[in-house]
Amino acid sequence: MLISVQLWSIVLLMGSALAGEFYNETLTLKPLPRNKLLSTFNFDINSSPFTLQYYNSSIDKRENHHYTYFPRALGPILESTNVRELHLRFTQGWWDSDSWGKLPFNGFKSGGTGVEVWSVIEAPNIEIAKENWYKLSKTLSGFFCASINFIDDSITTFPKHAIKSYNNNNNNNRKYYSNKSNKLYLIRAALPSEPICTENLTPFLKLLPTRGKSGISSLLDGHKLFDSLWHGMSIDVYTDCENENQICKFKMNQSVNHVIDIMRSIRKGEEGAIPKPTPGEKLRCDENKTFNVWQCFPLNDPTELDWSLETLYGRLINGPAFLNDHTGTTLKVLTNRDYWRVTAKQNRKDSIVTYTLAGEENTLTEILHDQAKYDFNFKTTDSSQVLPVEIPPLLVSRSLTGYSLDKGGFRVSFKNPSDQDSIDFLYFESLPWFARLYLNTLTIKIHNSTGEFSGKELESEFIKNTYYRPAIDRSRPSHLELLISIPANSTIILTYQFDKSLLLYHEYPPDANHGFAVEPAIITVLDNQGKDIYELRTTSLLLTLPTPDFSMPYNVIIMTCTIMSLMFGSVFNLLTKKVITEEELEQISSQSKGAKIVSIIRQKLAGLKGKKTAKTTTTTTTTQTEPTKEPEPTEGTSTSVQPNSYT
Amino acid sequence: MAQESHSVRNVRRWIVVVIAALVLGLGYPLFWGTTTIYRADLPYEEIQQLTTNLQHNIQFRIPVYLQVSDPVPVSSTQQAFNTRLSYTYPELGQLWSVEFTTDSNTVDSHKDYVVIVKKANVLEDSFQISPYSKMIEIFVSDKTVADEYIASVLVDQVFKEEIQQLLSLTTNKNHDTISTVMPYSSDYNIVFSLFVENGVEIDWQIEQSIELFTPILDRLSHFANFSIATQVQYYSKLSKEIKYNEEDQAFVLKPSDLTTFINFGDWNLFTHDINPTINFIIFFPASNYDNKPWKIEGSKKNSFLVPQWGGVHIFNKELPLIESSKVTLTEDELIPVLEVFSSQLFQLLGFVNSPKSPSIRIDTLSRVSTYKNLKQSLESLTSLIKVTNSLSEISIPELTKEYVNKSLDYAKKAIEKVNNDQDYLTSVTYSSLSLKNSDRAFFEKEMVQQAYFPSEHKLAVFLPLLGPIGSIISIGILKLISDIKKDRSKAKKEKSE
Repeated sequence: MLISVQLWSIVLLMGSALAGEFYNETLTLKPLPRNKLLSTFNFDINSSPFTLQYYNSSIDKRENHHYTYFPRALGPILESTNVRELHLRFTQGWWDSDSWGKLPFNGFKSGGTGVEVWSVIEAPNIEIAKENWYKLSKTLSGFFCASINFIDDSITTFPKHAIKSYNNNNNNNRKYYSNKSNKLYLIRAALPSEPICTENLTPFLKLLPTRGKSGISSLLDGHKLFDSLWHGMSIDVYTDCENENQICKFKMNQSVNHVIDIMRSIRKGEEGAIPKPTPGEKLRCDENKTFNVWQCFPLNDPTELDWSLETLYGRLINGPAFLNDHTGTTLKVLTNRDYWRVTAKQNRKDSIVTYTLAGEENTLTEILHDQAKYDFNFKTTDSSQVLPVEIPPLLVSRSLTGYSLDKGGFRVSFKNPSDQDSIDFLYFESLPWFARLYLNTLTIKIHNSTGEFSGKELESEFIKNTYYRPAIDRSRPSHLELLISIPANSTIILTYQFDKSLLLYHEYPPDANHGFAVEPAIITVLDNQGKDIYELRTTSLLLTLPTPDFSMPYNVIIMTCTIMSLMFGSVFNLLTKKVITEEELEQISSQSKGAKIVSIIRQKLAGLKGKKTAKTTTTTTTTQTEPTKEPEPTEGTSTSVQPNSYT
Repeated sequence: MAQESHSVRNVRRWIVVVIAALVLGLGYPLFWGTTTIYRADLPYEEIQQLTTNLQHNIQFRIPVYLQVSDPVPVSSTQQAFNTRLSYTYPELGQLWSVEFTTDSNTVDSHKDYVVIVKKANVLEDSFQISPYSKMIEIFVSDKTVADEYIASVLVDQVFKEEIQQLLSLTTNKNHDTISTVMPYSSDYNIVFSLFVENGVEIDWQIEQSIELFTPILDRLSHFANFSIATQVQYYSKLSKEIKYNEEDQAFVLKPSDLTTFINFGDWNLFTHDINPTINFIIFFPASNYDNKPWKIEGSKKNSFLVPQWGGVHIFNKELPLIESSKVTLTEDELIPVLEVFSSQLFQLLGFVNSPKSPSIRIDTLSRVSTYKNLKQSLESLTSLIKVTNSLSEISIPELTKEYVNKSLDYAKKAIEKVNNDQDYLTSVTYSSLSLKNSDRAFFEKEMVQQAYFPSEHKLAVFLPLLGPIGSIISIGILKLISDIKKDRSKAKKEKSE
């Protein structure tokens, strides 16, 4: 009896432990105007509960950790660096807000161009927090095959308001530190010039419990994914603790978002990777304009389309994530149902099943639970009929101004497209130290229906709060955070100036003339209560710095050496040798041994030549006599004669 | 022609001499000082001395307490033991021995070796080694030959493997048992992984089953720290397909398949940690759902050991399974597997096979590891010296020197602990610290990185300066010498005239 009771309690315990673990994946497909498609892969993973522990090297008894869905590859890294929250973004491309509208997940999962990392680290003081941060960046670098290890003091910032930790943003005061005397540090860095490619995707997929072998992640293939107009991968891990006791869970969300050009994918599928000229009979010409064998005004892309996931990804979805999990894998299509028809095709071992997707309003949902290869076919009579574009709450563009090599400036324009609401937002910018920002040059200009205004007094009207931490050469970037309020239907333009500084010889990268990337600025739109509702990033900028000729140091050394030795030589000779006149020199040289030898040789040579010269002198005399015979005088006489002869 | 005055000529000569002296005396040190590579002084002789004399410097004298019903002098037992030892292992020398003491009755048999000699009416002399402590009971019929018997029991039974391991270390023989052993570290990660061949979710009651390991690891805590993690990985296919054998009614893994069994590329096995990881893998084949078992040829427990890496067990579920429901690996099913793993852990850590008593095993292991660590540490220091001697351009940073000194200090401390206190657990810690520091010294970043400014480069850059100046000065000196000679010969001529 006792044993059975114990067994039951164990089973119950197991049950409660397992309830915490969780894996879920969703693929959302949303056709965009002009034959584009936004596809969003979303993976949610919860770890099994564990006791939060502050890790340092002196600890002897460590917790046992159990990983079921949460990757063991990441767990020990987070544990050993006391990371309570980790966010990673890998993004490339340009999001076209005008035609695609809001970013997926309201921008909270999209980073700026390149790689972005921020994390919350528990530490007793900032030095230890930094130490852990660098340790984290080094291990992540190895794991994700990205140069995250290049993160150092000169690009690391401690955001104050703009980026919030998960807990701050959700207004829950759950403390997730193990030791009451410790603090939580939010640390961030970005690498804007980092390219994103397949070697970043492979470790990303390895973090999933399916490791990209089944479920929606089986679609992800580096060649197709990165051949898109805009793509972003994100990883968010945060610690979720129950109040008071330190039983916590890691909650991880991974997502891949990208915008596919459907026409391009179809063309690639038909023609291969190398584009070929369209043959004459396939040209689509506007027949309302001049149209003959020689002339053709092309039409826009066709709107009657028929494509499937295989056209886009070259693969099929390999069943659900787990064969016995009937709710874990979901596919959603967000589109106008009147014009779009989505059919699912299940390739089973022995049969093929086809059916049309059903759903409510504009959302079609399909839960994948059969062991089959899934494909989804999209057929439309008018591909321009998609869900209306949601206009983002704020449109921002940032650009570099100035043309000289010693200074430059930034111009940032914020546009509030709304007709009624004014908007509060936070502007976060971290500039590299070699761009020396002068905050006093900050000017503000507002542009609205009544006209254009500028002036210092506007600054206090629109910029409600400023946080600025100036740069320190080589050890800190400048860090600027502004809380700006922008009225409805108007545009605010900020400009500020900076000086470019010369770097040390070894600080230039191998391709210094390419320019230095300035990381994207982050804009967080706030609602009335100060909660984040939308996040966007500007593009990264390419800053050209004065770049020296890199062979210069060697040239300088060699040139200086040459001049110095020349100078030394002449001074040395002046000091150690006597200055004499030319006559004296001749006199001396005629007395010196060398001169004697030379004269002896000369004499001997002269003796030898004696016989020869007899000949040569005769020839010379003959040649000398010849000119006397030359016709000049005769000519003279002849000319003098001629007139005579005529007369 | 106006001849220069004597004093002016002297001044000119002095100028040549002074400039030459300046260039040599000031310029050369300056050039040398600004372009030279820093090479810290390493304690070459000390390292060499320690390396060559390690076997003589360190002396294991294991205290053994004798408990005899009526007190007899210990010296006879000691003598018998010494004769036996030097007869069986003449190469051992002073490295290892046992010191007998009479029992003071306060000895804890868990801490120290205790030999209890009992008189019994047995036909043959016999002994018994306690499976829990360091107690050895000896039953003899005749006390006169007891000494001989005690010696033979200790040399040929209790310490046999230890002596053999030590000997193979001193003679540099690569013993088979040693190559499976993980390199020593003060921290190990142990990872239990369940690799499921297909994508059907499985529960395993590892959290409870793992409790089996806790007492074992607790006992090893003096030796090293262990941190445990477990993971489940799905869709873990083998790199090679295994064929079904109709005869055996099973998938049969041949010994040749075992080398490629672990799919390193695909299975998530990497750990981003400096400390070594011991992997224990339970492989759960998909054929469990068809009720077809897997067998490893020649393995009763369906498991095998991967040297210096970990252990693998292939799990066959006994009852047929239904694919649609979640399968659970219960504690009862896991415990036998974990028992296999625990014996594999002992093998991987380098424990002796006999005697079975864990306290003797740990004791033996710490002595062998101490010696092994010291040997390795000194070996890497010796190779460091070799490298620095053979590459005159390599820089030796101060940090390397520090690490070398630390490593030597710890090595000396370890030897001291052994020789003075016979405290093996402390000495193994010191020796591992010595090993760690010697590795750090050897792999110091600044030293390993290539010489930034090789001497050819240096010369090429400064040749425009050194060439002309050197030639001008040397010509000046040559002229000076010839002038002086000429003057002398002139003076002689004048004198003779």
